[in-house]
Amino acid sequence: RHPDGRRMEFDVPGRSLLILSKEARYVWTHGIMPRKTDYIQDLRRDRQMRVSLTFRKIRKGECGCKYPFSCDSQLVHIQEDHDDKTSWLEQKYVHEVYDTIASHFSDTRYKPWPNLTRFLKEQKPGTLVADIGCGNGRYLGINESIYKIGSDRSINLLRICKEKNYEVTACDILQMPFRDNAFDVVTCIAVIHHLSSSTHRFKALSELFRIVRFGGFVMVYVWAFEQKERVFASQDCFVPWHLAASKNKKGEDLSVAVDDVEEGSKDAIVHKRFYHVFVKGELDALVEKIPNVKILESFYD
Amino acid sequence: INAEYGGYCLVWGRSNSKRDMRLITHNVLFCNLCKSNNSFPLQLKATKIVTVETTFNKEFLQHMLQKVDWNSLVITTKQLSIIIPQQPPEPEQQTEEFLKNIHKVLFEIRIKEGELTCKECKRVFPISNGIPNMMLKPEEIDSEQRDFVNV
Repeated sequence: RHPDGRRMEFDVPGRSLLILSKEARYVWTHGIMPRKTDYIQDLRRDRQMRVSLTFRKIRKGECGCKYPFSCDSQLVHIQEDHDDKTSWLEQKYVHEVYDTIASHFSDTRYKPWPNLTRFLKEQKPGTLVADIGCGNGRYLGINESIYKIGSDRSINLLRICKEKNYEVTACDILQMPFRDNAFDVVTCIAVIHHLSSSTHRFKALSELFRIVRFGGFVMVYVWAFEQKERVFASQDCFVPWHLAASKNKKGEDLSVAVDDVEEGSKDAIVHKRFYHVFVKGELDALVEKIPNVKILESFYD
Repeated sequence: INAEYGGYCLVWGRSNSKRDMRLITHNVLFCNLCKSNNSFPLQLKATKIVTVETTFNKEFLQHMLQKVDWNSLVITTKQLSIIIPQQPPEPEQQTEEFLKNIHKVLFEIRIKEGELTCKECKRVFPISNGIPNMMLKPEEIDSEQRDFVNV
């Protein structure tokens, strides 16, 4: 069984060896159904005596596996303190991190993606657009003839938007203060992959569609699990942000965002950000559950 | 518009102010705590207002006018002691003077500091540095969406 609810059944033939590795070993849980008969391709098979031997290596010391969300060692402090693991993960590994890295994050996020720029430029004059999770306002300055309102949870990022004279509101995507059907267009770029449960992700999508008018458009971008230059061990992961701290001669703190600082470098402060990266079709499946919504385009960018 | 504000408001003249909220934004906000239809428009109390001149674009404004909830704008401008017509004129009858006034109301009047209050549940949302803060406290969040996971 997978934490997201998926279940798979396997027939393990006699005298066979089953080796579980990676996600199958770390993320899925396993068990034997407590029953006396099995139906294999509609043929009934009564169970007889079963002997199984399980071999496992015992680790010495802390576990550093790549599946922290399934790991008893790495998550033990969450189990003790927090019932609401989802919100805790988002608070510690998304909201607090962005507030801390805000200005440096903003410095590296200035170039809008071409597909989005084109989409915004195509809108008619007077179109009312909401950019949810606007960050440093990267998309709030495109196309003077449309009116854009941004929202984000990070007050520090919103202040950066305000410096550029953008119109912004502080709010959480899960419960937005925008009235129903208010906007012609809603964009949500690189936000939903920070939500740590499918309930939250679905709720966010529902909110996006609630605030757009009938006949309006919603555009959502999320990180894909399948990437050319990066391999994710699993869909739920931490992606680091390296902040290299250095001081000039006066001893003032000069923090600079350096994405490629070497791991283990003494001066780097690493902030882990939670991501749930999406597999192909996953976003579509969530959106299909929302009534009155039609998917116009779905692509990998 | 003959704009006179309440006793506790401060008004500057022209300003290059950046940190402020426009009334067009206020027009799309409602109370995300009680989510009542009656919570819209939120009551606006402004302690710092400025006016910033911006370029007037007729086509843009006429399109925006179709999106604006006019009743809400009437109520809100009244709270700021500004008078606008109870009903907007038809597009063919919208004079330059009318459009320029509405342009000023929607885009040039800026709230720097103030409060938004829901008349249903009485929740107060602050506006500071021009940013309305509609973030809810953990206990105010819908319980149906809280994800309790038994690890």
